[in-house]
Amino acid sequence: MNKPVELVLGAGGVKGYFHIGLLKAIEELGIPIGKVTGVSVGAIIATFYTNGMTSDMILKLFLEAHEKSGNPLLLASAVTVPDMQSFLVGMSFLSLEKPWEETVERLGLTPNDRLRIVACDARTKKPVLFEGVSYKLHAALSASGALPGVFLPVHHGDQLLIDGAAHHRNPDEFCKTTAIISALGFATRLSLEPQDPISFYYQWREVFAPVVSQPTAVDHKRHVVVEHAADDICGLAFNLSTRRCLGMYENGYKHGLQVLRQAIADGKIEGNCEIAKPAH
Amino acid sequence: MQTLQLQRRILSFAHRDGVAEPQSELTKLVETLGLGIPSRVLAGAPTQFVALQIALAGGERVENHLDQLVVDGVIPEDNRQQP
Repeated sequence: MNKPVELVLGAGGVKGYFHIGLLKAIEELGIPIGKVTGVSVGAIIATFYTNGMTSDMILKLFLEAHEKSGNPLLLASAVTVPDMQSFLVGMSFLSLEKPWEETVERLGLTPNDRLRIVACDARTKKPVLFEGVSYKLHAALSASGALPGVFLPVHHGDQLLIDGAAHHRNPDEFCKTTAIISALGFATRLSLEPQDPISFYYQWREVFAPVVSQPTAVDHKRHVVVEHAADDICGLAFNLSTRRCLGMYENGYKHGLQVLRQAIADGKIEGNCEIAKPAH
Repeated sequence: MQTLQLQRRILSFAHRDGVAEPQSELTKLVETLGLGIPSRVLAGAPTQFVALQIALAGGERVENHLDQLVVDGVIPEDNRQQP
């Protein structure tokens, strides 16, 4: 039995498709995964994965939700409110909490021992960790993705919680062992493709004036870091085509295979290097 | 969302009148269709999640199976009209 490694799925909104591709590579290489730490979109995927979904299942759910929500951060809204119009007129724009409460119930998702979700205390900027089996999963998911200026913060006791990325975009500090870190890069330029005004605004903000500082540094010596680049896609893009979403998934898979096979060959993690089927 | 509609159909099937243990109905469905969902995932998971897994793993095969059960009179016609 191979020794499990941990997994950290970072923040990055729509670029979460890279995470799903990486999960596919992990499955194919037979890498045993222990604890999974997630932030923002990474928390959503970590929740599905640790509840027992495969990468294929998560991808299918994301793509179906994409038609209604346009962005995985609004996956809950795609499940519980009728359409994008509702989002645009403000029904679900302000708070992620109610849609997530209904979605967690409807999908039967539960907190579990393998899952860690990271949010951030808005006042102190210190991390708030949801771990174990006795917290409100919908509150953790809403808080972890509550990007300031876009979504309402979440009340948690006497704290006000915001997107965990405000503390750290790829928090490796909670890992007790070597981890695979799936890091989603920032947009560094404007897109050449036509965008809706909201996506254009957020792309401009991400490139020139980020809403909130998001530290990204991780321990490269200790962990296996898979860095995904998509420099013309911002996390809050809402009108990406399915083709581009699948492109991120496939790149996450191919790049993931490459990095992970090397890490196995180097003895940094355990798995089966021989298996490497093409993406489909 | 197609998967969520199918999930509701599956839940309606599992919770139909006369079924004492919805969870075992779902387990039987997994076995009948050979969906390959690991038993550790099925054991102890909420029925909503198991139904979601079945919908995602089985898709059209599950739909066809439920359609056939409706035709055979095993489950009521209104199973087809899940929102």
